[in-house]
Amino acid sequence: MAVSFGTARNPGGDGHGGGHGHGHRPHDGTFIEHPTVKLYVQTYVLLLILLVITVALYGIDLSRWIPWHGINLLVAMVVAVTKAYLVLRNFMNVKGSTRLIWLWAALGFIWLLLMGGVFLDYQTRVNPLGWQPERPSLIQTGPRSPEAPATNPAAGVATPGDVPAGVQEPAPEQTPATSHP
Amino acid sequence: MSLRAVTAAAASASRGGDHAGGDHGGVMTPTLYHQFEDVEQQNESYLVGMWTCLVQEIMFFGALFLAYTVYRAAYPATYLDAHKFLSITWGTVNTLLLLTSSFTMVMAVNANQHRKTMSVAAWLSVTILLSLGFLGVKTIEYSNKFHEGLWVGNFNYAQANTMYLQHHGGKAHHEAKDVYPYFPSVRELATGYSLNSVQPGATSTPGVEMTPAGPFTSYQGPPGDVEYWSKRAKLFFSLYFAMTGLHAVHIIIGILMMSVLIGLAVRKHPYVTQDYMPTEMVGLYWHFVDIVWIFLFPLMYLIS
Amino acid sequence: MPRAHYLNADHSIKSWLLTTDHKRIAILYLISLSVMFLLGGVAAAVVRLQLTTPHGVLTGENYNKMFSAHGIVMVFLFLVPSIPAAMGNFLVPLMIGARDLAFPRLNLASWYLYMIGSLMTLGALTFGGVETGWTFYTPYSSIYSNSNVTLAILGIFLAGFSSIATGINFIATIHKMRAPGLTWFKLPLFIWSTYATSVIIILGTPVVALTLLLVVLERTFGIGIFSPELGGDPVLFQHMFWFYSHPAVYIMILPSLGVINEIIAANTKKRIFGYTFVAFSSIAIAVFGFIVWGHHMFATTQSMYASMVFSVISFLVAIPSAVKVFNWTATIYKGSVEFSATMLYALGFIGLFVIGGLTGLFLASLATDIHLTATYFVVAHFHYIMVGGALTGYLGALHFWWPKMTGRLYPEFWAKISALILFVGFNLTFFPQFIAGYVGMPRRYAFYAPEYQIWQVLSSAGASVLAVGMLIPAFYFLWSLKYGKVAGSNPWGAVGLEWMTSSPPPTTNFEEVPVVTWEAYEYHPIHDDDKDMTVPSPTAPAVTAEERNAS
Repeated sequence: MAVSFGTARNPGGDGHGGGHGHGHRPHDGTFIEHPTVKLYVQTYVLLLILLVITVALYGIDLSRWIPWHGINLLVAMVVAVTKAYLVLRNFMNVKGSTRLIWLWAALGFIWLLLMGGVFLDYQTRVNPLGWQPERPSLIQTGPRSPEAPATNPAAGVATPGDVPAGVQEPAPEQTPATSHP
Repeated sequence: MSLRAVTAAAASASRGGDHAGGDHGGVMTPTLYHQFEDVEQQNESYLVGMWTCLVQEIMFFGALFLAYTVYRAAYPATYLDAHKFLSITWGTVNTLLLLTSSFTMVMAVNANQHRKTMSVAAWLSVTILLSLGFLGVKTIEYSNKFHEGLWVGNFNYAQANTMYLQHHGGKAHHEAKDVYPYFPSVRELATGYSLNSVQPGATSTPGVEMTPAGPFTSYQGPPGDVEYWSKRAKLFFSLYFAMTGLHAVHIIIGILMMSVLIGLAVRKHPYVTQDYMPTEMVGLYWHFVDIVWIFLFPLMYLIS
Repeated sequence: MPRAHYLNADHSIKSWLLTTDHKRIAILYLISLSVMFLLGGVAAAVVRLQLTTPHGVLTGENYNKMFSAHGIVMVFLFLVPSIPAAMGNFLVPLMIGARDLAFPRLNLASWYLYMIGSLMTLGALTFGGVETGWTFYTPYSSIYSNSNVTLAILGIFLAGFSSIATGINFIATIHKMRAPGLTWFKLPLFIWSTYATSVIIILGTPVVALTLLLVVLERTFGIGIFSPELGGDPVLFQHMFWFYSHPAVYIMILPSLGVINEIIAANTKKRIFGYTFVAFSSIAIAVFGFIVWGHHMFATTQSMYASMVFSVISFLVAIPSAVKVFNWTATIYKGSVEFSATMLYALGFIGLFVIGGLTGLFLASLATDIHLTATYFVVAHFHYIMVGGALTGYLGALHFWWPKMTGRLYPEFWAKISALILFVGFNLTFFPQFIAGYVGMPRRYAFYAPEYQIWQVLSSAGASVLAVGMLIPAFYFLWSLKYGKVAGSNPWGAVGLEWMTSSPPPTTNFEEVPVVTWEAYEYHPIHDDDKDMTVPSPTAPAVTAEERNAS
């Protein structure tokens, strides 16, 4: 039985890529536009203005108007994101490219935010950064017989630079053994 | 002519775009590789490939930004204090250089699209000059850090703070202590030990009650403990060198790629005369490197 | 066999080492991967030898180096590349009707990166060794270990970039180079899996590359990001490491899941039930796999609240895998089942993968994990998935596409025997480890309490059987290259573009670009009445040009 394959893709055959600077027509109907020099210059000027704004705002303590210690950081980040967006859209031509490129660019930054899941851990730890216990261990060490003194869990825990020796524990946190009469 | 023959003829006409310069009335004829059906598919594939590479680079730098953010949230006082050693001037100059290089890069791509090969070489050369300037500024900054004792190999925070006070006439305005009272003053950091009732070299303050920290308020540590906070400053500088160092490595790679392009342009190689995709792809990479710096600059230098 | 195909196109060494033909690169990978597997297997054999008695034959330090070598070689140098590099490189262009991948030279570069990285890592492991385990936990790896951590990590770094290059290639190819008429939902499910795998590779590998690089920087320059003395958090390393390494296990299993689709469809002569669900489940696994990394850290200082969230999501991530298993059973039901060797591998896969997945749930649940973590239960769990799942899929793929790659058939009888031996040996090796872990034996211990010995002896006995089961295919595959029966273009009567070209395929894959008008797995043609006899039918045997000219 004869089997034939057909080439249905490019009946006319166009091997010429776009080269005249104003975009080229991909086969699936989307059109990749290339921006003009004017847009490039405008974007560049905008970027410079934003740079000046960032540095100027650094010198001003914005928390005098908006009472939050992170306001300066937030403003700086907003400006940075704007600059990045301008570069992405105009210099990297995400605006003029296919939807797939746009999707990829967006996905990259969104995926980055996933790593922020780490803060699920760090924000909810009782002991910040975890490895320096402020409160002594709740695990009873030493014998639990009546005549042996209950070990003060706070003693001997201090390591250089960490919990100073002799820190008193607030009562509710005490282990049952230390309340043994 | 059969359908197949027409296709084959057109395809072979576009393959090997170096025949007679391919001057079909100002239209470029890039080399069509055998796995692609037409140039549009080839160009789009290259774009998808380059963007995928950039997404991967976002995650690469992103991990460092994550470490930065975790430690900034935990030790804001350290960050505020340590960043005083970073020169805002040099940082701004660097940002300026890099933004301009992004502009010249995109002009180079534009020139390539308009088939102005020598303009391509010119714009790319300017881009390289600007980025060499960036690297030069970085070298100045790094050597300053080395002399101040902030290099991770021979870290000496006391020495750094002493030199800082010397440069600023003996007193520091806008100390971290103003915002975070538990942080030692710059004078204390310069001496290397706490000025209250702690022995030199001791690292814990007996009998001093610590401020209890609740769920994730930043760990305040024993008040005024200089050695404790000096070590955290080393953490900041570890991140600083890791991030800016990695960024500088990417700049160097970019410079190498651009040099190759200039070489090709000067020799009128078809990769530049008949195709704008190589330049565009290097351009995409360069803009990405610029974006990383756009975020690095406020996060490292503009901490307030 | 066709007279001119990709294997005999040119016999010189240069044509092989500088090839850009994706099929040849796949063969290069196949050879390297087999060597890596052998080396990792030798390390495993030494580990099992040590564990047969409570006091063993090695020092503690050397045992640490052995299991680290086994883990590093098997995970980074074998499993992560395995199916994507060896089978994916070969099959992706064929399955979508393309002449090659999008970036053939990048493909070759990825092989060289892999070879250089592997040699560096193997060098580090051989001359001095690494004691940290394949997980390189800080601060041991960054500060205290005196072993070849830096060199090993740099090798893994390069191998990681090889992986990324492969991922970039696949993504661009699958998006842009499908044959005309081949829409996304007509693609073979192996392509869907490969695509999902590539997405995971792109989004995850750079993170671990950077994390390991930071360890190297700490060892070399003193840049202490994870050093507790400076205020750093060693657990941050674990966060960043597992952010990749959990999706990495999906990199290792997803391609196998894709392969099983192909094998089952071909051996039941039926369309995969619930095609759309299976396709999207691959994407779901890729997405969900990125948000469960904390379940490796339940016993660290990670907060309880974060652990609870990760635990819940870890339960959810089992669902897409279950979706696949349900759809396979529905496919097999009332299918015309052929118990060929490849089908035996597929059926073994389903059983072992289910056991591995279910035992993962014990580990995902916080309360039981506190008891089971860092015991042999975990070891058994991931070996059920990695060996019982990923490796079985790899072997099944090798058998299924061996005729296509080499033009020869392997001996079916011996293939079935070795599949059965593998199944028995595998279960004997790893099922006792579940029990050992449950009764409390910790993992990564060179010396253990005598009460665990019975389980370890059973396990070592099983390992010898397993080794036999792995060695037999090596022999008959090599034998088949010269003496095997010549395979036609479609020995299994399967539906797929790769079966419509000769075995082995010509260098340009297809003589003319195919136009796809049929659905995926269209074993029973849907549009029977308006069948155009000049358009190739997937169920009709493909006729190559030579056969056509001969008649």
